[in-house]
Amino acid sequence: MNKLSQHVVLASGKMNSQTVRVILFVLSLGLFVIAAGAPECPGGFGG
Amino acid sequence: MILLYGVAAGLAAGLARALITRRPYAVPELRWPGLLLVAFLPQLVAFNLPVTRASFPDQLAPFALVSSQVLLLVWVLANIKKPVFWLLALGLILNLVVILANGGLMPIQPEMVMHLYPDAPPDAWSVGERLGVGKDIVLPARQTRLWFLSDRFTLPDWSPYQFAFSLGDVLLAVGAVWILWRAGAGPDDEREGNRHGTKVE
Repeated sequence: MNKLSQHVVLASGKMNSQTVRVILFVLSLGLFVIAAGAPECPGGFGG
Repeated sequence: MILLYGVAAGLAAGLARALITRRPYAVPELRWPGLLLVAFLPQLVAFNLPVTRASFPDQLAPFALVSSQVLLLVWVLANIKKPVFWLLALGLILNLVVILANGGLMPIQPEMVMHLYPDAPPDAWSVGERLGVGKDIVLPARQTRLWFLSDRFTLPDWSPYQFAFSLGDVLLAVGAVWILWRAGAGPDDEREGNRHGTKVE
């Protein structure tokens, strides 16, 4: 039972860290694309 | 914002791929993520925040855009060994080159402006000036250096979204989608093992 609970803790920690990594990666990529791209969208015209 | 839809679409496709193939959604570890935030700050102030962009001097807009793009270039080169980041770098460089060649802002033709803003009053914009509070400068094609790299593309008239974009923007969007789709195939070391005929468990 102790070994099982250890596996659960390790698995949940790994899953959470992977999820966080994916989220951070996607946010970083999104930020990069917004900043590097220069598409002119209606709405950026006004003040 | 439009490019974010591409990111969202790529993410959805990549996650679906991972789900169907029962592989982990594996993204590479990025170097210097803090530099991204620093790189974005000038644009945030100059072009995005309503509180600051309305009063941001036109003379400083090129400095904000170019400095931001240079920092982004440093960041993407720091991560150039990551899969497909070469395509992001290429898209960024194409945009940066045309921006630098035209005074620090992305050129857009008057015809494109009239197409995007058909109801704009006559004195709302003028040739040779920055377009509103954005990153663009209105220049006719004959006065645009490297015009083929400028914001010269747009979606068909039937599209509900209308915006002007450049060749560099196309490469950036394709690169982002490709990266997010590719992540659905699992970790790179596992793919290398399969390619050489040995499956990594």
